[in-house]
Amino acid sequence: MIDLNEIGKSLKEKIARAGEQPGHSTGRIVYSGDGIIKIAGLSDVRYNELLDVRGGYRALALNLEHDSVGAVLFSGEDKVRYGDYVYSTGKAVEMKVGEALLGRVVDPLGGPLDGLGEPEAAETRPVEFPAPAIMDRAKVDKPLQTGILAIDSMIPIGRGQRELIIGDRQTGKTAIAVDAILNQKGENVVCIYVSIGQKASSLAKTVNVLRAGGAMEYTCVVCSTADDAVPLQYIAPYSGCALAEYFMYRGKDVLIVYDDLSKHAAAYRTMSLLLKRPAGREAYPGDVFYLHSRLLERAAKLSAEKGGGSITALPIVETLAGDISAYIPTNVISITDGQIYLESELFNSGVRPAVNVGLSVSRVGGSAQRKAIRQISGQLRINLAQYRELAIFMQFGSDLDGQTQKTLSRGAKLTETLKQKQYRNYTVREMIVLLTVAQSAVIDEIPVKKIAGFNEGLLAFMRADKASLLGDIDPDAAVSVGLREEILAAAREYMQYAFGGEDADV
Amino acid sequence: MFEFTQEPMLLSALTDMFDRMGITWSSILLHFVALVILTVGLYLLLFKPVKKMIRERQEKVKKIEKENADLNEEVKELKASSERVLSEAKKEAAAVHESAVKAAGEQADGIVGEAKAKAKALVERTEAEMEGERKKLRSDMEKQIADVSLLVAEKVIGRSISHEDNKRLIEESLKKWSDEENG
Amino acid sequence: MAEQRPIAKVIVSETPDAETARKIEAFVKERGCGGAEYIVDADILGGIVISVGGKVYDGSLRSRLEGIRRSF
Repeated sequence: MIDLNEIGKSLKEKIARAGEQPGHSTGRIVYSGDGIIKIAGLSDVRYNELLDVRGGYRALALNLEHDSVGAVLFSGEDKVRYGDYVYSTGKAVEMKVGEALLGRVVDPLGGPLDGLGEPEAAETRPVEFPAPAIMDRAKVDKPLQTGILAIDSMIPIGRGQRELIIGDRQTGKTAIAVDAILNQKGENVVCIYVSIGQKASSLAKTVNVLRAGGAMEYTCVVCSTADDAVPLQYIAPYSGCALAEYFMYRGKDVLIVYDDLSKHAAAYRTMSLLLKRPAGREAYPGDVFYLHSRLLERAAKLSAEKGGGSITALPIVETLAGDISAYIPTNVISITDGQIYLESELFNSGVRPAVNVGLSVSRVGGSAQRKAIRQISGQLRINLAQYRELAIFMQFGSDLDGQTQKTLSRGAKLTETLKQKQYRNYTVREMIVLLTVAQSAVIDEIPVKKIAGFNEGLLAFMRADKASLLGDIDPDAAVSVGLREEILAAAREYMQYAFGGEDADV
Repeated sequence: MFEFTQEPMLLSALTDMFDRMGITWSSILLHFVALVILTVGLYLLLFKPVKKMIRERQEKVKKIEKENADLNEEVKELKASSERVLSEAKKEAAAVHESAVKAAGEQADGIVGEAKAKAKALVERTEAEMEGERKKLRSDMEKQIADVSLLVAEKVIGRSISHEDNKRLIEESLKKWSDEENG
Repeated sequence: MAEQRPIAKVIVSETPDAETARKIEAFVKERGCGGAEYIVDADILGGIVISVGGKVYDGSLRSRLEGIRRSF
């Protein structure tokens, strides 16, 4: 199984090569505590340089002071001692990159966490890297389908966009991101899921979902769990981004999910406080805005001259009690090109995904939306807004005229249509069918409670019996009147089967 | 039948009988005339309408018969069409069944294929995991060996380095640094 | 003036003899130090580590060994 001779041989080779090590500068640890070390000497070390600590441990130089260097340890915080020698490496922290990383679960330095051995990646990229220049960027013009009706119709995301997913805990933030990754199957989009300071159990669940959905083929999971050293949590999103850039600069489209940036900010706060940097609002250091802006600026759509690749970033931020005016949420909202706002009230009342359509926006995705979807969903927002406004009045129990009642019932059914089971993604054509039917007179004949079943059945019916009609729908062209009539006729036909001749009571 | 020879006798006997009964030929004639009138009257008043009625009834019956025939025709037609519909329905049912079977077959193929792919992926993954374990073990061993050899080297060097060696080391280093900075 | 100049920290595994000490003195004086303060630390195994101001000259066997370890 394991060839001992070979080990000996490779070791001998390494020893033979070792003699030519270039001299690095040296320092000694004069303080060690909480994973922070202070080093005397090392005068020529640079910011963010990787340091070697005696015993084979790694550290990251972060504070360069007059006569000492402050650094954080990636490992071995209970092993290093006062007086230990520290050597500079002349290298910044680097992440392994390459196709070999796809399908893998790795730590922020590219080490394997899935028991599959070292990823055989020939290249590395610095974890910190400047964002593409203005001239290298192009307009976001291609949609990134999440497969979630409420999002793709009203809060469309374009390739190269940064769309924040924000909400309280347990509102389905990760579910949306995972759904978006699952929906990239066959879309030629590389996905990277960066987990920052999450529970190992929930991370394992996510990885299993991705694996079961066949999404791991084009996905890499970069993770730092809650028990990882704080510096690892700190560099995890940058490592993930370095991997994403590798693919972007090769002309590929990449979707990267940062789950989640509030924990990242907390990790950075821990580090900063231990490094004795001055604390600001909510005890975050002064540069916490820059922390996220430099990360999210690296997501971009490259111009055709640069290969036309893109990084679409879906950062996730957790709020406390729906407070989006807290420090980190406001910061990230102002950096991103829009946000998907999830509400626990909606979630608990059964509206899932619990997207608050009123507060969610997408600032650039609209132009990237497929033509047919844009045409059909134009009125959607207004209709829903009207419905919500009226729904509030309805609670007073006032008498309603026919028009109002119709608006209310249509609104309720529209809301019902926008509900979607987890991991049940719609294709663009299915979305067109659902939206067309939900905004027509056909829907008036179906009771609210049966909408979900009707939609599900209708799609199955379309797939089985009306495959040609489904195929006739062109997402990139406007839906013609004739096509619309055909879709509605199919819906009526299915209604006959589903509810028989009996008139379903509205 | 009376014999002709007896006729005058019969006639006279009749006359005689009439005489005795007070019936005269004239009254007979009159009665006869009355009878004729009655008959003609009856014919005109009764027979004709009855005949007409009968004719009408006959026509009605004929009509009903015709209707019956028409209905029969219709029934036949209906039967034929229903048979046609039935056969079409059967055909359609067969087609539906066929397509359902086909779809089910496809689905089954898909499921089987998926299961196979999954099984293959599982095997591959396990193999990869084993390979990974091997590699990890190897690198662990390398590391252990390296650590041990370094420790040994430390001990040996720490003990065996002589005063002269150390002196030479120091002077070499000093010279190297000086050369580096001056050059 | 000489007294105000900084003292270089010299780490050695054993106290050097007079000849070596002279060379070390000369080396640190060249780099603007008033004198050398010796620290004996067997942990460096052999060779010499000199801290002059912010700069550390590391010519110890320990650093060579660590170099080998790093290259593994």
